Order: sequence, then structure tokens, then C-alpha cells
Amino acid sequence: MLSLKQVSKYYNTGSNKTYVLNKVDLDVDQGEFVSIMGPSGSGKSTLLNIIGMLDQPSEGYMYFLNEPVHQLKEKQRSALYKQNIGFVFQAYHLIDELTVYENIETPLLYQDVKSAERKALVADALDRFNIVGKKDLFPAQLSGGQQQLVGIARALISKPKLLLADEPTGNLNSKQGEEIMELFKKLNQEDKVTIIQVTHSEKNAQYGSRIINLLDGKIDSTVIL
Amino acid sequence: MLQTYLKVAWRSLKARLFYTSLNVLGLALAMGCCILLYVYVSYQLSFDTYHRHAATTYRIVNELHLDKTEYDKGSSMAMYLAARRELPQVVNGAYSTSRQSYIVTAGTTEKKLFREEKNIAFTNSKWFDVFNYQVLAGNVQGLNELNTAVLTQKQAQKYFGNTAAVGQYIQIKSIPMRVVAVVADRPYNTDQNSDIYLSFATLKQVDPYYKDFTSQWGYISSVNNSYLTLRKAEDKAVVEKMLNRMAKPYFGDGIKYYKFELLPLTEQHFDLRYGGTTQKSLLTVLVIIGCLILATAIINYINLVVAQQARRSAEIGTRKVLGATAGRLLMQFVTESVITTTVAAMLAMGLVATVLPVINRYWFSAQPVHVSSWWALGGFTLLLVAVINVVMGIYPAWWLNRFNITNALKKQATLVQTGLGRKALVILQNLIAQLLIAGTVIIVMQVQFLKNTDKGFDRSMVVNIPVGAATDLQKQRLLKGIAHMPDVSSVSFYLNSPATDSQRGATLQFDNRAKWENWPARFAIGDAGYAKTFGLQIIAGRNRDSHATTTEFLVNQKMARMLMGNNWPDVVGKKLQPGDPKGIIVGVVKDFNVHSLLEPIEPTVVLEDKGLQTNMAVKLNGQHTDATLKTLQRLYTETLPDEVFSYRFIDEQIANLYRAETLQQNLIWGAAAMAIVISALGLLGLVSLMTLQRTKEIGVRKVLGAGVSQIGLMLSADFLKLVGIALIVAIPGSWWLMNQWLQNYAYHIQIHWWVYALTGMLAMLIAFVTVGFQSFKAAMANPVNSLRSE
Repeated sequence: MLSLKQVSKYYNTGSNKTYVLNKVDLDVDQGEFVSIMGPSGSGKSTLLNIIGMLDQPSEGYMYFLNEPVHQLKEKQRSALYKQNIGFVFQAYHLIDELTVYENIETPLLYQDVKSAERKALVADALDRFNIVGKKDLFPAQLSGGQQQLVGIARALISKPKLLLADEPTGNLNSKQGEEIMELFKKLNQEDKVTIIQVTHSEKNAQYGSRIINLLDGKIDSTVIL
Repeated sequence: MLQTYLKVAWRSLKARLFYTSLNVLGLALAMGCCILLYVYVSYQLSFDTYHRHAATTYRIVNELHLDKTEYDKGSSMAMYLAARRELPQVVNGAYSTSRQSYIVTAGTTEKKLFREEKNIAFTNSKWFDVFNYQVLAGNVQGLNELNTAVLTQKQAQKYFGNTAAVGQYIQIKSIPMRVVAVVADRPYNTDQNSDIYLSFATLKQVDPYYKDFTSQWGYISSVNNSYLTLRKAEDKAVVEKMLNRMAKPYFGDGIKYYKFELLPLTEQHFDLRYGGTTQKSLLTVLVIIGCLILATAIINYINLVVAQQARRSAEIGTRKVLGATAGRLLMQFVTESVITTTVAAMLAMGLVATVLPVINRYWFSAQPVHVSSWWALGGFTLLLVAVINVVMGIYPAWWLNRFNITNALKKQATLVQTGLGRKALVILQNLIAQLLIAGTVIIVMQVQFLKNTDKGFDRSMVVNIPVGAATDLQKQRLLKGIAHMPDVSSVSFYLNSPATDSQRGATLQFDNRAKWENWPARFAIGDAGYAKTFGLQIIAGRNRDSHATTTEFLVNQKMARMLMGNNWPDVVGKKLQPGDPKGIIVGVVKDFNVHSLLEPIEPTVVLEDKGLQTNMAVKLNGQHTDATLKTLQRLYTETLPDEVFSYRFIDEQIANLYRAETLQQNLIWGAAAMAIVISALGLLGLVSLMTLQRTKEIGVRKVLGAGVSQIGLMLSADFLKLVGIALIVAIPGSWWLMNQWLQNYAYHIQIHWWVYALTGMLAMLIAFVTVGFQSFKAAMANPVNSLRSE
């Protein structure tokens, strides 16, 4: 589903290049649940952003669903991720001015989904994540765990093939964190959503099927669970 | 989608109510200003454009090239008739002798006397053909007969109340004239300002002076108006050439001084040389000021948008991740600005509707401003809203295009640096405000100077009372009566006071010189009491003697110098012939300004012309003024039963000379006040956002031991610095601009350094008051709270 070949990301600092990612090769298959681990500054988030096409590599090739991403234009790239990738953030990044319902609906609006279909999809999602009662509340009125639940519902609303999560439990307490990880596991096993998450927590990493350890921009080791 | 845009925009505007209010208020004030200026400018531009053939109708005017070029909007009837008769390019035309003043007797049952000042014209029915009038009753063709009159509705009502005026009679100098038609009152946007039209044939009866009037080519006077409608506008040059050629035989050698020209009817309102009242340059300046004020408000808006980027960038980043395109994100910004400007526009309309009557009363009392078309005004407002939105959308569009999602979504939202661009905008805004403040100070000083400076005469407590065509005997009786009034210090029968807009003068012959001087002298026409009543100082010779048997003149020092150089006192006793009269110079007076201070002192002769001395100037000693005026009125009505008593202090008459300047003063004052308020609103928003973003820094500084005043000053200083920079740029700009303006006046103030000290202090004070409160509030916050919330 996803293939990175010799992907590097560097910044020019004076005459030197500072590598954030250094010639990374990575393949992810449909239905996998990959956890990326590593110390601060090892390039985890950058790798995730490149996979999510929010950031571009300085060098290397990347194929997503057999499309050569490195050759696509900005517009085509954004069309590609819009339809196939969902994002979950550590800081949730819900839109303050929108209700739970409207937050979940937003990606559908941007994909020009018809009103009736939108209603059905959002109602479905609310039901599935058990947040029907919260649909008219604003993010500020929710707990962190609930906000992240909304974030996940929003990421999944357009049925993406790949879910990218950047420390999804980083701002949550351990009980809320566990619930979110259980949910991820369920999504991966029952709904066959491919998931790539970045995490600091060894325990959370155990929910996945593979752990990739990054160190100084290189893949240090890979553990198959 | 639209619904979503509206919903989100509404919520986000509501969530930041404080900033939204600042924006709406600032934009409403600026748009209100623009709308008012539009109303004013479009009103001025609409003058006399509504006539059927306005684009091809011209007024015959002339330039008289003496030492100094004189401009005259008048023309002789002889020339008009010849043009109508002989020039095929002229398809229509009208002629009138206007601005006549008479006592009119009228009434249905009881006859009453009315003093009509300069609103009577002699003409024929052609006038109503060339110019658009709505005939309400009767037929204007009747005006081609002898002793007939056409009245405006207002005038008819004044004379006859609700009785039908057509068929009634009015009397002037005991000559009855039949009212043949009533026309609608003249619209506001015309310079044709007559209310009573008398048949042209009547003129010679009313005033025998006009007997050779129709055949004399030299009878050019500013009250004689000739208008020609040409076949097409391109014929103008040919007709001008023909007019000059046709005039030649009648002017002989003198023709070389004259140049006859055609002034387009639609330019009449703007050509100050020919009696226009509004400078086009003033309109241009107003348009520029309107744009500047609008720019100030737009800068406020953009500054607040930029300052809130930090807060919004996470939202924008998220939306981009969720699939929004730059175009759609821009739509979100545009929706917000459209809502803001629409609300502001509605507020502005309300503001204009409230303010217009007020400023019409206080600023434009002499010439109230009217909305020429409500449709056009609505269209203008929509256009304004559109333009503002386009300008306000440029920045977000640029920003969204170079937007970097990964930076925006960094876990800690990075602080937006106080960019150079925003500083420049604040400086620009302050520059505008300070230019206007300095301009206001200087214009106010100059107008005060103009209104209160007398060059060589004394206007205080002098009252002007028109006496019309009083006979010598009646004048003697008035003088005798006044002699018994203890509070009157002197009296003069005269035509024009010092400092008027009336133009009289002639070239002259001095002493035994063979040639006439090649420069004209101005006339101050009055009897022997003129010098004393207006406080002219005699510096050589003596005053004129009222019992003298020969004609005596006073001249001013300037004229004496022009005649004899440094031996100027020797002009006393020499012969002089200014125009027709011949006499002797008996004294020299200190220079005094015959006209407004726009013009330098000119050579002037004080002389008697009994037929023209239709006013009485009375100098009071300042005690029992009301009682004295009452006594004067009694004496007046007893002596002159056919006249109507009215009086006016010379003071007011002089203030009237500077109406245009007073108006400019008011307009720029208003503009400066607006610019200050709007930029203060902007500063307020900006400083409150800045302090919000620097909460943590302030907390840390306090923990490290900074005092409240240190932090307050630190925050204020950032903004005061910008005000200071603006001042440095404003000084040379304003100095140059205002000196240009002051060059219009022969007499003007000097711009002193303290004008700018004052401007700077005012701008600093306003900025400090605006910024200081927020800064000190932030400085006083408990650091525990600000640091914990991180």
C-alpha cells in the first residue's frame, strides 16, 4: 500500500545539511498497524508527515496505492490524501467554533458530499463512537478523551484506507489512553483500517502488529509482534 | 457550503466580539466619511448638468489683459444678439440681466413691501427654453410682453399666499407687472439664482440708465448673462473666434486688450475666475482624504487579522488536513469580511442620515448639500463594500497560499513575530492622522487670521444699512436725525466697504501726464464720512470735504507710490482722472485691503459717486447698541417710506468672504477627527492582542522582578516609537503641502515649529491613552495566573 525508498529530509544550516531523516526505506501493507517509536528528535513526526503528504521529502521516492507521490503536483497530492488518509493529532485540533457534529461533518463538506448522505454518515459515526448525546456541544465543553474520540470520528468519516496518528494519547490520562488504543485495535481488526501511529509509550506500541524504532533519522530496528 | 461559511463566520466574529466591534466601528466611521464625501462631491459635480443641452451650452465671458488679467463673466447684450443673428453654429440662446435688487410691492388684499436682494432678473421666455424649469401655472411666453413677471413657487407664495398668483400684479417703482406664470422652485444644484423674472422690455422703464443697452457692445457687466447653445461642442473654438472678430469694429484699438471666450455651462460652478464657488482641486483633495481615511480603517482590519494569525493558524492547518483548498479557506475569510463590512455599511448609512442634517446646518448653512440620487448613493455604497472586501482579502489570500501545514500544527503554536509589514502599516496610519492634525491646526490658524485681520481699516461696530435709491434730500434728513444720536460716532453713504468681493475700478490719468497709466485702480466709493467711519488713516494731506465744490479724491499709499515713487506725499494737490470723473487728490491714506486677504493691496481711489452710494455705514460706539438700532429703524422708516429697513454688521459681511476657507477648515477638521478615532481604535485592538500574546513574557519578567511601570512602559514604548517615526515623516510632508496651500493667500501666517510639536504631542497623547490602559492592565496581572495557564 505504501512504499518509501531512500527517503531523506534535511535542512541547510549554514554550509552543513542537518538530516532529520536519512535514507529511510519503509513498506507498509494493507491492514497493518504500525507503531513508530524513538526518542525526541529522531524524526518520527517528520516521517509521519511525509507519509501523510503534509510534508515533502528532500530526496527519495514514495509510492502510495501505486501512485508515485514524488511526481505528483500539489493539487493531485492533496486530492490523494483527502480521499485516502485520515489524521489524528495529539492536540486533537478540533475547530473551536464548530460543534461536535459540525467538526465531524467538515471533511465531507470539503469533498462535496451531498447533504442527505452527509447526514447519514455523521449520524452513523456519532452512533458508532457513542457520542450522539454530545453532538451539539463545542470542543471546549468536552474532556480530552472525548475530544480525541471526536478527532478519530472525524478522521474516519470519509472512510480512509490509512489512519495516521501522531501521539494520539499524549494529552490523555492513562485510562482515556487505553480506551483510545482499544478503539484503534478494534478499527484495525474489525474494520481493516491500516494504522500508522507515532508514540512514546512502549505499552501503546504493543497494540500494533509492528514496531519501528527510529534513531537519528534512521530505522534502528524493526520488531514484528 | 455558503450556509456553513456564514455560520462559522458568525460564530467566530461573535467569539471575538471586542475585535469585531472595533473593526465594525472603524469601518462604519470610515465608510460614513466616504459616503458623506461622495454626497458632497457628487452634489457639486451635478451643478447645472440637468438642463436639456447642458453639454453644448456656453456662457460668453471675457478676459481683459491689462497689467494684470481681469476675468469677467458678463457680456453685452449687443454681442449676444449678434451671435444669435449671425452665427449658424448657435442654435439657441438666452440672455438675462440678473442679481437686481428692488423693493417689490405685492399682496392680495393688503399691499406689502418686500426687499428683494439680488434675486431679480430681466429676461424673456427663451430663458425657460434653454434652462429647464417646471412651469406650474400660466405660460412663460407672456414674459415676451411688456410689464410681465414670472415667479418661482416660493416667491408666489410669499406674495400671494395660497391665492393663484397668475393674473395678479406686483409693483416695482410703482410700475405694475402682471404675473404670467409660476415655475417650480429652482433645484438645489443650480447657480442660476433668481426668483423673480421680469420681462426684458420692462428693464428700460424700471431703470432709464439702460436705454442704449441693447446696442452698446461695451456694456459688459457681471450681471449680464449670455448663454449660447451650439450645434455641437466642437463648434466652440469657431464661435469664440467669430465673437472676437465680430467685436472688433465696436472696440476699435481697445480690442487688443479683450479676449472673448465660451465657458461651458457645466464648468461655471468650478471656475473661480468667473464666479464659480467650488474649486475642483478641493473636490480632488476631498476624494484623496476619503481614500486615506478608508485606508486607515482597512489597515486596522488587516492588522487585527495578521495579529490573530497565531490563533487561527492551527484552525487553518486542521482544515487543510481535512481537505480544504486555499480557495475555500479564503472564502471563509472573505465571508467574515463581507459580514463585517455589510454591518459597517448599514451603520454608516444610519450615521450619514443622522449627521447630514447636522452638518448642513452648521457647516454648509450657506449652501446645504443634497443627495442627488439615492440610487447612485446605494450603488456607491455597494461598490465601496466590494472594493474594501477585495483589498481586505488580498492579505489572507497571500498568506493562505504560502501556508505551511506542518508548522501550523506544531504542538506549541509559535508566536507570530511583530512583522515589519504591520509596523509599516501602523506608521502609515499615524502618518495620515498626523498630516490631517497638522493641516487642521494650520488651516484653523489661517482662517482665524483671515477673518480677524484688518489691513489699514477698522471694522468693529460698523453696521451696513441699504438705503436703495434714496434722494439727496432724504439722505440729508437721515444725517440730521443721526446727528442727535449720542451712540453713533460717524456715518457714511457708500457703495462698498473695505474687504468686499465687489469689483469696481478704472484706468486713470494723473497730473499733466499725456498718457493714461497702464494699470487700473480700484474704487472705494463713498462720501466724505467714509474715511472716518471705516477708520482709514490719513498719512498725507487731508480728508475730503463734504462741502467742496470740486471733486476730491483720496488715494492709498500704494497708488501714491506707483504714481510718484518715493516722493509719494507729493501726489496731494495733483489732478487725477480715474475713469470719467476729474478732480484733485487731497490726501493719502494708509494701505487698506479693498478685497479679501487672498489678494494683495491694490492701488485704490476713494471717491464719491452719488448714484451708486446705495448703502449707509453707521459706526457705533458700542454702547446701547440695540436701542440705537431701534432708533435708527424708526428714523429710517419715517424718512424712507418706500424702503424696507435691514442691517448687517460689516463683521459678518467680511466673514462671508472666507466662506470657502471656513468650509475647508470644517471639512479637514472633521476628517482629522475621524482619522484619529479610527487609528486609535486600531491601536486599541492591536495592543490588546499583543499583550495577550505576550502574557507569558510579562509573567516571566514580573517573576524576575520587573515593576508594573517598567512593564507598562515597555509595552507602550513599542507603539509610541511608531508614532514618533510617523511624526518624523509627517513634518516635511505637511510643511511642504501646507505651504503650497498658504501660497493661495497674499497674506498668510508662517508655519511655526510648535505646530508640529503640538501635533506630535497630541498624537503621542492619544496613542498613550489608548495603549497605556491595556499595557498597565496587563502589567498588573498576577504572574502566577499567566504562567499557570501555559
